[in-house]
Amino acid sequence: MDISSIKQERGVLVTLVGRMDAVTAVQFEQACDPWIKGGEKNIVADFTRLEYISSMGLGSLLSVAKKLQPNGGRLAICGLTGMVKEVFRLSGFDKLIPGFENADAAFQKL
Amino acid sequence: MPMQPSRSFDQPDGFRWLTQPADMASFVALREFIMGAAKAARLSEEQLWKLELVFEEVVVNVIRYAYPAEAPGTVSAGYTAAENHFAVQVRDSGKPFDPIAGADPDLTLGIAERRVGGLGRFLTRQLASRAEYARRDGCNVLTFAI
Repeated sequence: MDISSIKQERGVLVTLVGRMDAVTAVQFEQACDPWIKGGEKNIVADFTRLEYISSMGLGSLLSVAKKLQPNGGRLAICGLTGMVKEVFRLSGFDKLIPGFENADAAFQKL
Repeated sequence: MPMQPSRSFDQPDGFRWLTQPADMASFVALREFIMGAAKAARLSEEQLWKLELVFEEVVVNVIRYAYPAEAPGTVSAGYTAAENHFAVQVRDSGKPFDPIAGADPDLTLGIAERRVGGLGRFLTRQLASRAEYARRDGCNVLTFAI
């Protein structure tokens, strides 16, 4: 999985490309932790080019969402498609982590 | 119309096998073994991602929890393919553990209350068309079909 993060006006945009599985899921937490420690409240994860997610990937998302919450921050997702969207629905993560069409829409609502 | 004999579902006749050390370095080889066979069997895109997800949940569970660090063991993955049916069996000789038993996670809980664990088991039950666990000859035997 390729992962990059960039500071934007209203928070941090993290872009994931590839597969979020038992091997790679930890990369998401590793990408977010420095921002959270630096005081960032809101993170938007762009899943447009994420092809696969397992429960390990969901666990990594939940861990980041839990870390943001005590500071009044939130994790949001944009660009859910294909199997990732279906796994979100099955696991109830579509109710747990807000999803948006694109990053701009997500940052406006956070 | 007679019922299909269900006892044949988790008997290993006709399965092709790969055995590896139960560590994360082996996970990718095991996944490629199973997914390569599934693609050759022309499973649909939907069947492929369901298979991949359930297989990951089951094998990673074995890798993480079946053996104590001081006594590592192996994990075996086998498959059998027939028209529009693909069955996988995962075996280990670690401590007895049924990976599909247990309560569903509460999907209504919020972020603070929601536990990180338990989702793999839930997704396995949701996505496999059939899944059975047995403890046999000192081995955990988990068989599922997509």
